[in-house]
Amino acid sequence: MDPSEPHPPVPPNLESLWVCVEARVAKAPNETQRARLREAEAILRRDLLTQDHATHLVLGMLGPNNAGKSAVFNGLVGQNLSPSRATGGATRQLLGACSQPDAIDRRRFQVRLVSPGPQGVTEVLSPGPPESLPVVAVPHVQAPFLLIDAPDFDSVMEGHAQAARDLLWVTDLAVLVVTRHSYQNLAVVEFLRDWLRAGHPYVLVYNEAASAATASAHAEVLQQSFGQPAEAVFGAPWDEEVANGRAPLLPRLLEAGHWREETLGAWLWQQLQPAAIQARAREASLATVHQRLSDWYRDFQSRESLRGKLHGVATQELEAFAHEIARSAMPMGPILDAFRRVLDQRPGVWRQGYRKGLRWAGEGMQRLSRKLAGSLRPVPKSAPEQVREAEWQALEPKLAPTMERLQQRLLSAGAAQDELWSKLLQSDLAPSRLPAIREQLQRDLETSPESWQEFSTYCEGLVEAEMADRNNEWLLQIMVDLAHLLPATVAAVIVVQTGGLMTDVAVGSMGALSSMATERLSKFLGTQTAQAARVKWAQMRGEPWRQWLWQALLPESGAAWAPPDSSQWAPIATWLDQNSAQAGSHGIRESS
Amino acid sequence: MASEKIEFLAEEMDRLRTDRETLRSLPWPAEVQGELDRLVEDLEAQRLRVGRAAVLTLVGSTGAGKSTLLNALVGKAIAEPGESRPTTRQPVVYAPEDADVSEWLADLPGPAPRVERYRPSALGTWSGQIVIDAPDTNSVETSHRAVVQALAERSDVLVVLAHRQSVVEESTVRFLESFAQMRGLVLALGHGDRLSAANRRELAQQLESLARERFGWRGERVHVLSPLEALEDPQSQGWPEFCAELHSVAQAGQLRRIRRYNALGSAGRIAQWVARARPQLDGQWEALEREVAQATRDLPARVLEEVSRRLDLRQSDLETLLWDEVGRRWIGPGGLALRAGGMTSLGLGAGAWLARRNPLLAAGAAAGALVTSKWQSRQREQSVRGGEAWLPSPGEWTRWYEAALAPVRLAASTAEREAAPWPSGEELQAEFQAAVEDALSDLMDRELPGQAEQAARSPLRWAVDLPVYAFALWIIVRSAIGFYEGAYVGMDFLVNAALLAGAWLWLGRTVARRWLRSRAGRLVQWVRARIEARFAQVMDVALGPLQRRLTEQREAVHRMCRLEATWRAKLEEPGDSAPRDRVANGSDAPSSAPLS
Repeated sequence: MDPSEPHPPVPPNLESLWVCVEARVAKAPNETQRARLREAEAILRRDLLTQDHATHLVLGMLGPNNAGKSAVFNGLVGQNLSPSRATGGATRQLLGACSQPDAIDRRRFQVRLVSPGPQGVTEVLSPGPPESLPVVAVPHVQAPFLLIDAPDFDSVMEGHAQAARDLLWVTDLAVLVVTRHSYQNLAVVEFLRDWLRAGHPYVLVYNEAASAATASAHAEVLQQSFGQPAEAVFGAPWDEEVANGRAPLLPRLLEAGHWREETLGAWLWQQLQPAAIQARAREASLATVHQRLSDWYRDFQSRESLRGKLHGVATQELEAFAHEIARSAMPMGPILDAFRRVLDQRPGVWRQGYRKGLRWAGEGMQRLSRKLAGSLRPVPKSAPEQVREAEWQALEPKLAPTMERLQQRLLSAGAAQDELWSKLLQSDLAPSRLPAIREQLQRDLETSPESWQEFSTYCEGLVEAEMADRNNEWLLQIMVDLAHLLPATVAAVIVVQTGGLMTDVAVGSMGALSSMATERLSKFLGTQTAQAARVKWAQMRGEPWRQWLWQALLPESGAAWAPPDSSQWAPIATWLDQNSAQAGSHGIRESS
Repeated sequence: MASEKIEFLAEEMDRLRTDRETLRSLPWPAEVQGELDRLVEDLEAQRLRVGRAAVLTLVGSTGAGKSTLLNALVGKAIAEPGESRPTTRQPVVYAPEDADVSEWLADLPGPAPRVERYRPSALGTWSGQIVIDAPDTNSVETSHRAVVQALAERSDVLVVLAHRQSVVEESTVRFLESFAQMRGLVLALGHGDRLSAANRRELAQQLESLARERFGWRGERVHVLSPLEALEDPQSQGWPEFCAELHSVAQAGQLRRIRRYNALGSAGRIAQWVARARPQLDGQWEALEREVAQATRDLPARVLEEVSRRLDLRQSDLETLLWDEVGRRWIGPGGLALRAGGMTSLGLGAGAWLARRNPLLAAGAAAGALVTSKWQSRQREQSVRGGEAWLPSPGEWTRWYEAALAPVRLAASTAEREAAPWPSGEELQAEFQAAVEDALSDLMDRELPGQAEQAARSPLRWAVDLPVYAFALWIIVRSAIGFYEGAYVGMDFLVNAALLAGAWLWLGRTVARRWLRSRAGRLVQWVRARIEARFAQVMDVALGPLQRRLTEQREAVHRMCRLEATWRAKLEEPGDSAPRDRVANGSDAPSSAPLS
């Protein structure tokens, strides 16, 4: 590769995509999602956004435990750099070798120059971030190549698999080392299949071969398992000298069941076209990012739709309950008053006079009875207080059953599928929270603003419209007067007749008559007006109730189900959309 | 194994299965449910193997040389080793000719195993054990995993054969971990001829420390073998020792020890899983019990409040009933006066007023008043006895019942909510109704007469009655003297005398009623206390099944947590090694403990 050749600039949308993906990592709801995002983020940042494609082609030595990765590495660099033992497990961290370590982009690797001792690089390297890479400057390695030795990916040794996986995301060409024992291990195939399917190029090294023919056959089987052909297949026969580290491992080209003279090193330095490999690796990386993000996005969307569903179910349940509470405590007073006021404002001298007289009589009666009653019983509560009390009585016995129903409906609607959500739901709707919920609702109720004025105005509007439609206004007027006057009159008569002794009876009959008369009135008016008033009241009062119930019953899970800000993930969706045409086959082109 | 131990195990297994079912509805994670089922099934299979031939399965990664090993052991080619991986697809069973393996082979996944027979002899390696060449644990043929899993489940001992590249291989380690401490382990490292002496030592050391740490292995040595060499030379390095171990494993005493070890290992893992979940379960039970206690308090308290309100309203009725009852026991004018209600008094008053003009009409009015009063008192008694009116309406009752039960159900887990025996609302209401009715009929039939008996004491009776008798006697004497002397007493005199007597009796009646009023209050309290006690009983009975279920679950968890200790105490024999140290974070759950 010619360093002077201008390499394609990093497209700006990848930069913004990376910013977006990085921000999502912390918000992933589970480990699978987080891993997908983290991988996409790592590939974007460490591979696609780096600037040193012109100077370095990363060759990653990958393979199962004790397959001979380090021996191949040492053979390529021409000296015993990486610790290699017949018992395996010697390589615990990545180790790089190239001729120009200074030119490596720091975004890709945090290069730490190390110099080998007589036994190779034996210092115990402290486990650092995946980007941290000890590198040995080896002039013998040709210019664009950066060789990296990795630990195995299939053992129980802690951190090995992760180190190998982290190397995958920046590898341009993988050198896969297997043996006759491990070429059909599930771990080998599973580790690489996904990565190879995206179109990453690789070279196969079959170590410890019994014969060229079996090695060829086995390499063929492995390539079939991957579903991707290798760039070239190399092999080395079983050799005790090599196994015990007394001779270098120099794999030779394997073609059509025969050994060829060309070694892996010679092939890499002379036959390989770094620019072509790099272009393919880059396309494969883009495809991998696309695949990871598509997977993530699919899960994200299904979770998002479940979230929306749960939010809907909870809203519906709580709204129904809120309206039930509101309706059960609807006051009739404002409707009657509205009638009275509307009738009072009607034009005509006769009518005005009649109304005035009636009003005077009604108020007088009421005052009288209230005076007598007040001397004997505590002052009756104000209307808003009565409404609050009635609401509380409608709420209290139904609180726990509503919580139970809410929990069951949400769990069966899908909250049970999500561990986090079902946990939040359990803790929100735990019975031990009942006293706290009651207290909070009571506080909300007590501090609720009064909205009588609004309701009264609305009722007046309703009555106006009703009156405009009706012809027999006088009949209506008489009914309203009766509804208003009759109870007070009866009560006053009783109180006066019994000298204040039967106040209880008076108040009771007043209430009974009043509600009876109002009922008559609303029947007479037709269901529409009453229904409209009821709906209005339920809306007006139901809305704050719904909010209080949300906050009291679902403080945590309600917050978790709030719709997220779509600008946080929209760029990912856009990018996936723009690149979806090429995603089917590997070989995504950068979108301009 | 001694028969008492077999019996003990049979009983324990029955109990363990019952306990397992009792605990099924608890909120375990799905993988724990599956693991517990697997472990219980495994124990049952182990128990059924008692007394049968030892089963040894060769397990290991592909290419470790399992088939070659079996061939070398047998001394002829019965299994087919090969170069292409994975090689063995069909398991090979090498069994003594008298062993019935049909049951053992039933329901195995994968291709049916090939059975090879041999004639057992007491002296050689082959003393009656069954040896199986199993497929690999790590190749791309994932169907092999199920086969080797099933084979290992039916074995007593796993002969683990590793090679240079598979010692620390994750998939094989995971597989063996799932049987850790539940199977005897014989460890061997194959392809020994390809390793230098130093490498052999190092790899054997690696395998040994891995096995001790992750599989709880307690054996003495890792065999380093070369089955290929052994085919040629049975005395090759490590081979005779390996054969000797396989032989000793099949010996009765050693086999029993291995089986004890396996059973205790399985029991220990069950105990571990349950013990790990126990704190969470305890928390949930505590919450559930708290809510049950709350419901047991709340629901009867609410109903009682309602009943009390009605009782207070009827207190005057009860007073009247008490007066009537006392009056019935009080033979004399005082008693009559006490029983006379408002109606009677009015009637008698009207009678007295009319008497001067029309005595007949007066008598009629008095009689009518008496009849009316009688009818009134009967009505009153019936209204007290009838239970319906004392309890809230069905709609209201349902609301209360739901409000009380909902927190309890909320505290239970989802599965438990469906499985638990919740009390039915209708039955509970009927029970409450019966409690109220019983208390009221007790009141009417026993307590009211008893109170009346105590209340109408003779000094009081005589104090009221004696003056009336004396007055009456004086009137009679006065009338008689008048009759004889010819100076008849007039109608006015008699009426006045009756009015005077009536006034006296009225005074006595008022005093007695005042005195009885406090007794009526006491009666109300009595009936309230009685209803309360009955309500508590009703709640106890209704929530009894739920409480019993909780207790059963707790006991089952306790027993399962102590399973290993109980079994160890009963099964262990002298010569078995000391109990293994189980670390809290035991080796059964997949852990990623560092290995270096």
